[in-house]
Amino acid sequence: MSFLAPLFALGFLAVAAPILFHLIRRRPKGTVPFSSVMFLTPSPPPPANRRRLDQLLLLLLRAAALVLFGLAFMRPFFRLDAAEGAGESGRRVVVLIDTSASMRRGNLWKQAVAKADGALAECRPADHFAVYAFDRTVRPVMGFAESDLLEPQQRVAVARDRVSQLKPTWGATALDRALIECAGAILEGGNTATGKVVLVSDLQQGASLTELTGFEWPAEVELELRTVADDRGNAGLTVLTDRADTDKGNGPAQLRVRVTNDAGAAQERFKLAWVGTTAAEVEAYIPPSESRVVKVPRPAGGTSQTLRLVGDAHDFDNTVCLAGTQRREWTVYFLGADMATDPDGLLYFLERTWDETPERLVRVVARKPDDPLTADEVRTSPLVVLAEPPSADRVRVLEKYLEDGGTVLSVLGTTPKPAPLPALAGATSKAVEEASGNRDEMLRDIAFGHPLFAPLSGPQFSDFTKIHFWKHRKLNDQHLPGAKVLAWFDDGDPAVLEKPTGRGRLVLWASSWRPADSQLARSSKFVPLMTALLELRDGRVPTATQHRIGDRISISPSAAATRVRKPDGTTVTLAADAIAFDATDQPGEYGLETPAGVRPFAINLDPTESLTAPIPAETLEQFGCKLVNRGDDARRAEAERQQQNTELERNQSIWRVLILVAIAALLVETTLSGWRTRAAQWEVVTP
Amino acid sequence: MRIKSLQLRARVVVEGFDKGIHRSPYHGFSVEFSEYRQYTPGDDLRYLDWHLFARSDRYYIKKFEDETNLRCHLIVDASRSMSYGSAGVSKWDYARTAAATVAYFLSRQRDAVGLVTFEDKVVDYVPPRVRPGHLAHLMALLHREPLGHATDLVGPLNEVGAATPRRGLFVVFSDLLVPAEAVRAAIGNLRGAGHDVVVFQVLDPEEVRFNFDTPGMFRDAETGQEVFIDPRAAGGTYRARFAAHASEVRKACVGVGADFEQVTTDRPLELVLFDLLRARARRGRAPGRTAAGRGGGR
Repeated sequence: MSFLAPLFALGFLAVAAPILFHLIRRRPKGTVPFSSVMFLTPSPPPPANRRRLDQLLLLLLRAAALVLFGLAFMRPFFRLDAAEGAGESGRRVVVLIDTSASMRRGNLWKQAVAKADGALAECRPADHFAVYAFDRTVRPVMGFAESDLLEPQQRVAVARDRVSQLKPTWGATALDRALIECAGAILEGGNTATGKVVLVSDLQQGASLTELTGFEWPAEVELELRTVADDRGNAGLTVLTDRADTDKGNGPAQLRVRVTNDAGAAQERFKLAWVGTTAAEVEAYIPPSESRVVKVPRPAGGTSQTLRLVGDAHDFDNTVCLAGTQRREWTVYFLGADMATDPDGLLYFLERTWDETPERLVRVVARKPDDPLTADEVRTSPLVVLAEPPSADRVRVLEKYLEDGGTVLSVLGTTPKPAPLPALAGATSKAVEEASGNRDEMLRDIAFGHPLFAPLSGPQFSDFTKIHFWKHRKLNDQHLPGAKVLAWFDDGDPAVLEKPTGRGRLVLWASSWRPADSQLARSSKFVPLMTALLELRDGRVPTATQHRIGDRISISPSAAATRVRKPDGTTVTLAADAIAFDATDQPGEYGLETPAGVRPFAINLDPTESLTAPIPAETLEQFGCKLVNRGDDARRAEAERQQQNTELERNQSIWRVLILVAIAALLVETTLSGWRTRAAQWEVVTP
Repeated sequence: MRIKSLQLRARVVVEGFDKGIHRSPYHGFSVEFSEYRQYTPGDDLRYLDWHLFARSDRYYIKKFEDETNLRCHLIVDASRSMSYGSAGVSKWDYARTAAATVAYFLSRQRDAVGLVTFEDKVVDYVPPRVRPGHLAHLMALLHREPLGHATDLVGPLNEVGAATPRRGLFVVFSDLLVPAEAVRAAIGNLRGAGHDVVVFQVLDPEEVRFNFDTPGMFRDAETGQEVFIDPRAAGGTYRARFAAHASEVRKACVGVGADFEQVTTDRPLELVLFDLLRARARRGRAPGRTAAGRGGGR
């Protein structure tokens, strides 16, 4: 039996009144008239231990009437089993815990664990709940399926244990993705599933919310915020470019970094210091809520360096790592008669193709047809450009070179008479004829998936229509059997062919970049194409050495990398065919171990993690999230239960019966009392 | 007590009584010469015997024997304590019926009957008379209900005694719930004045037996004082004290020469009249006319 207004149970205290009156009022209510009391000795009041209940039946009737009235006012009703279960069914609750790097501040993580524990504890036994953690990715800590397998009592304990084992990572905050995934997980419960996402997070401004714009937040899912906060402001350090600014004369290279300072920060003056060096510290004045770019002189030397921001209350984002650069030197052989100073020749443009960069130096070595060329010379060369048919000796050298994995670019120039292809890679001796040359040709059907054209595959780079070819040679399958055509001329002749040979490849261009043949050398496509040729052998050298947590680091299979050394000293062994490294889960310098040496790269914190000012809850509402306050669902459930109870009580109307019974008890009591009073009076008059 | 009229009630009692004693209806008295006495200044000249003066030239006062009827005062206690009655008959009802009975009985003998009702003072005083309508007047006075809040025996009896220079009979109906000393003083004063006094202590049977069994607040009929009494605890003491008081009262009355009878309201009224006559007979001064023809002797 349940009660609608249980507070009326206080009325039961009134039962004590008749009992007390019975006990206290030992003296009878009526008086006995007597002629004179001069001979009477007043009797002392009876002692407490002799007090007894005289009119037990009357007392019981009065007490029963009071209890019945009290019960009636309490509005009793019987809770039906069906009704019992109705209010308890099926909420799906996801406790979503932010484990991003910004949660490393102060005691935020302790707060977060406590709030997650609180949210778990508030789950009702009938609720289905799951625990998810997120940073830049979302991962279930305990999914619905696993949770449903456990007993209700065990669920919370297991979930708490799992939560206690969580630790904040270094990742960025992909709040949008996490919310969407959690909402989806709740909706997986079926059409009637309703649920709630309890977000335990610092709700920092750096959290990503953009994906929520394209997401229609389901009406069945509510979002409850349980934010954690640290009042101390935070300053962050971000490297703007990992390439030192060397344009400023002869001074040391300047590194540009951005220092941000939170609105609530108490500190305004910071220092930037290189860890492990004696380089002078650079002072930076960053007022709260501002960010400024600071140039820091970079110490000489190509080793990895760490720049630290000193003066901030929170250290998690105060360090940036700069990977050391390793300069690669390549030699490209040009086998032809062209003069380097002849602007109509091939060599003139080839020598100017590759600028010197801190990471790369490409030298072009030209060998006349009569110059000697040994296999050792070209063995490590990434590219050999063949402008004229080679001699038999050179053919042997190049065959060996191709076998070793080299790339030979054979450029078919204008010849006075048809000549066969260089005798490489199984080329036949069939003469190659000059095309008619009646009109300009352009390239079509370019194989952008091939590494040669892949750098230009972007829509902004893939327009080859501005490159006109005035002359080209007509090739077909019989010239180089088994070759793959990478690009065609408008007239249907192959323009670029490739034929793998040994571990290397022969690339055949049916035209050339001489100004007399085409506009290629003066187009923006020339340098990328030549660089792509350069990288065909060893794979693309990653130019960027600065990455963020969670970035996927591409690894060229040709680099034959075996292991990756992580900042904490652990190593990750790569598969033989690995093309990428994903486990970039901590900031610092990584080392990619290759047969050619360790290639370093640096992983730094996502700069958005430094934006720790909290997002207003209204922002989430603007994205459509259905926010509820803590305890709203409990209040709503309570209201529903109350309403249900009211209806049950109204239907059952037990109070009417109780009132009637109470009135009947009072009537019996009145009758009995009256009868006894009269009997007592009669006894007094006629004892 | 089912007869409402007090006079009728008294007549029923008296006629029943008459049947028992076969009393003679003879009545009569005269003023007889007693002696001469030498006149002294200050004597009332009305009683000077002028015939003797004419004959002897001497002044003599002629004295007569007082030969009147019995002069009886019925003194009824009208205090509120008399209103108590446990069996439907209050002490007041019983006392006034008894008084009316005596009054009727005496008036039939042409004796002078007066009535005094008192509380702590005299409420009504009617001197003894023998004339038509007097009895009805007495009955009317006895119809009043008692209102007094206190009982004082000495004051009213002294007052009545002082107003009655002639000797007579005083029949007192009272519960005598006053100290025995007061009874002794009051009755003693009457007896000292030469009156015959018959005291009827009218009590309720419950006052004597005190057979209550329910504890309760006992309210004094006169003072209104309420005391909690557990009869089982207080009954013994009460009975002892009441018996002691009754005994003292009896001693006080008998000690001063009065006749004392304790009657309870469950006692037939005829017996009260019988008690009166017996008391009078014991003293040789029955209110009825004796053979000597003398009423209240000296």
